[in-house]
Amino acid sequence: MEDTNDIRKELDDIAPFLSSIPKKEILPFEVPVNYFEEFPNIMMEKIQQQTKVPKFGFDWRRIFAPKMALAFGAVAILLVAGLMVFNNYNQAQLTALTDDDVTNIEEALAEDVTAPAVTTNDDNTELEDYIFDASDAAKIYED
Amino acid sequence: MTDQELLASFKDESSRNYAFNMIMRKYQQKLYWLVRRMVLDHDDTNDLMQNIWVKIWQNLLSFKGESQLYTWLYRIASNEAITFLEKKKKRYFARYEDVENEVFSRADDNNDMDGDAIQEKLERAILALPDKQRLVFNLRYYDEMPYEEMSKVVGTSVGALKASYHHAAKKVESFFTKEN
Repeated sequence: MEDTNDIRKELDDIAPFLSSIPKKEILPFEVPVNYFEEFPNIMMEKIQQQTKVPKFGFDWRRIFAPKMALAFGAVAILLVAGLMVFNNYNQAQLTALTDDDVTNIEEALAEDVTAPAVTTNDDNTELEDYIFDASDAAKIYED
Repeated sequence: MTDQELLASFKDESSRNYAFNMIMRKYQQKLYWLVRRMVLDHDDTNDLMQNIWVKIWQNLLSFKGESQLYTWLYRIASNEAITFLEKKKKRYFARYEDVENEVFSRADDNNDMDGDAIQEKLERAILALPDKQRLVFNLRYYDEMPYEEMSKVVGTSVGALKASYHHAAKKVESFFTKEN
């Protein structure tokens, strides 16, 4: 394993001028006063707050989290957009009918209601015979 | 307390908070300067430090001790710093040169800088390096980290790290010789 002397010698070989610059203990950036003294306590408070949130069960506070608000918003927009598209489609269907279409539909409906039953006398006779025969057959099982 | 003792103490729930506090006090400055040298601004560094220590808290129980604790801590911190810089570039749709110039101008305008001209020049020269090369240079130059350890931090082969450091040191050297 390399030690610090190896590392310094390596730099001396690659970049002698850079190697000659003394490494300053004090860095050229400043840090707020007492930052390093206070930081661990601030972090511990933050971590403890996070671990207080219940791990099991439903946490209602999550509903009001910004992420959930975005999700709810997106669902609401999709629902409204869907309803609008559906309404426009129905409206378009109705307005697309011409007067002739309406007349044809009305005529077809009228014909259906007034149309006589399409049966002949022969059919009726056969049906009556069948009913008669069936009622006779049922008598066989009486008594 | 040694790292092993601190880790053992952290695994015990009754002494976990105390052990974590001790680990923070032991390593916070090293991690802070690692990140600060990469992102420059104190507020950015402070935000990153909070994220880093939360991640350390969340993952320390699963730390198996296959590498040294400080190597593992450095890996988390350097990943956060590099990710932050990459996101920042994407956010501003900036080309690398633009970000470099922005960093340079911030270093020039930064009132936090002390008056030591050589140190300022050195910082400016290091800031001219690409982010990952700058990380390698900082780990070797400031933290005097052996390549084997650095390989675990950065996730790159020892050979590639040596080449990267040599290029970086030569660039910094030429920055000085040009300026002088």
